[in-house]
Amino acid sequence: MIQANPLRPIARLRGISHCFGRPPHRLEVLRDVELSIVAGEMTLIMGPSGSGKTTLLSIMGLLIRPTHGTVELHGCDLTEWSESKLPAARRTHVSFIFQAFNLLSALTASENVQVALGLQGVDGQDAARGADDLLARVGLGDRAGHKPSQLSCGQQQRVAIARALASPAPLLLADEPTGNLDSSNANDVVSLLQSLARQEGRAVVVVTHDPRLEKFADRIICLEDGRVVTDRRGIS
Amino acid sequence: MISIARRNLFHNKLRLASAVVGIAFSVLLVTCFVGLYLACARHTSGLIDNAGADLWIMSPGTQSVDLGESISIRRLYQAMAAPGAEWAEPLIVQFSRWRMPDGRREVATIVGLTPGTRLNLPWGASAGIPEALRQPNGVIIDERERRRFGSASRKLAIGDEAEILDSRASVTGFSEGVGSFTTIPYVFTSHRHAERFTLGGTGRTTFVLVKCLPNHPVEAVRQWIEGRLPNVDVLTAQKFADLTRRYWLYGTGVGACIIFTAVLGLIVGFIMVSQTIYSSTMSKLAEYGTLKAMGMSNVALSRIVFTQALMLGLLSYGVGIGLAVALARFTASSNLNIDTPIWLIALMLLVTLATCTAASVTSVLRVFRLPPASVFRS
Repeated sequence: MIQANPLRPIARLRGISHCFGRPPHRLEVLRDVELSIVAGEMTLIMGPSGSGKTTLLSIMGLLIRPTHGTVELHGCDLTEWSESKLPAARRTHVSFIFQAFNLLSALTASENVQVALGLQGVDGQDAARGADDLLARVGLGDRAGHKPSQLSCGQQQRVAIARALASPAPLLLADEPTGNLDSSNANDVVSLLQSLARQEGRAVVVVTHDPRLEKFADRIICLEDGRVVTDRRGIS
Repeated sequence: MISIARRNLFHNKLRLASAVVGIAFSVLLVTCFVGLYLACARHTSGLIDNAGADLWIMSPGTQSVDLGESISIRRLYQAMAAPGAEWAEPLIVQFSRWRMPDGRREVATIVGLTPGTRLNLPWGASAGIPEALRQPNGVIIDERERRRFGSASRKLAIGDEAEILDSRASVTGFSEGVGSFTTIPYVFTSHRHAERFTLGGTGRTTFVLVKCLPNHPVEAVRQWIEGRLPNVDVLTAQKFADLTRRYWLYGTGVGACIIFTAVLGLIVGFIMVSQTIYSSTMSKLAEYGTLKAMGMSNVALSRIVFTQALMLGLLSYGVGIGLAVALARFTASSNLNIDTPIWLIALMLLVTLATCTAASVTSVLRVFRLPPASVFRS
């Protein structure tokens, strides 16, 4: 269980701008974005293609550095951290869920989760037990020995969620987590993410095109042309 | 932690099998050609290395033990007078013509020894060789030549007769494991018979071999003989063996050809490993990106790639070296010899692992340069 103060921002983005390429082909994808993500909430980031949603997620997840602005996680400005320190920062502060699940195809569901536990320093029998517990939490206790190719899309995404849960990171970033799922599986997955925010106090940020997810969100941010155009409370 | 490298390697068994076959073949190729080179080197100087003499006296300009010209037998007595010489013996080594009863002809290298010789010739010999040399017209030939020098219906046997340079010869013994680089067999006989079996003539020999007394420096004896015997070269056994090996292996281009093929095998192996590891890395790039996003360091990721390459190398080495040793054993009794000494087997392990490590550098660099944000593009 993450012990987080619900009012305290987990992530704070100040004056974030980001450009790809060089002049004259320079493309500005984010412009002066100010954002605070607090614990215990599920935040949706929505917007048309090319509006900068995934870039914003990458910056928040310390995967790319913004051209301008600062990223604070747990009150610590990580913008200028060296490349060699960033992997450790990601292990501590962030976990990810991807649209294509990105499970390691050669490993079983349990082993995929064990790899994430291994990155947290949990090994051997402890990791195996931990993986079984996490898979049981996402309803896949009986699929621990299956490889990704033997699981349905919904099951694979739940393994990916179990893997994300292996990290105690308070910030969980999900890129189109329902993009490859049917509506039934999509509902299950989003409900699970919602419960992680509400019951565990994690800050869950979901990038999506899917309007069906709005009913689960505590907060909905809309981006257009790299700018935050609306930032409103959800209806859940 | 879970061995991702091992799981990745064994995940696609078909790809693994094809990679192992390719690399194992390269290991086999390189081991066999280096082994062939070693066997050739051993065969070229086999007579010198096994004779047990310290000094070889020969006609000037002799480049190989198989290509010596005759010198006077008086050189034997002059050499025996050298201070520090324990004993000296004449040795005829000359090509000649062997005619079988059915009229077929083969070339043989006649090696004429003093009966009761102190030379360790023929080496690896069967029992009863000294007596065999004393028998009238007696000759000794290697076991492996019994079929080639036999008749169409049966292999050569003790008591069989043949003609060597129009003189009658009788097979009185068989040696074992005595081969030559040219595959022309050494036929051992007494010095007296060898004079008849070759064109050297009586009162002549091809070499005079000298054994030095234990406490006398070989070089001093060599210089003494060289200073007093006219029109001869006097070489230490080591130097003459080197000269012979150089002549056959490099003078004829055979050695260079074998080395070139071995290097080619090494290059093929390098490309095979490189391609296999690189294509495997590329197919898992999204997974490496995911691990990077999850906080795995570049060092840990490169360890996975290197480990995968080393495991592939070890597996392929096991198959390749096993086949090479089996092939070496299979050909041991033929004229095509492959030497696989333990140091070569160990060296091949190092070469294979070094090749695999070097071949995976490109893949490691690709993983190093992989931006972690690429994980969102898949």
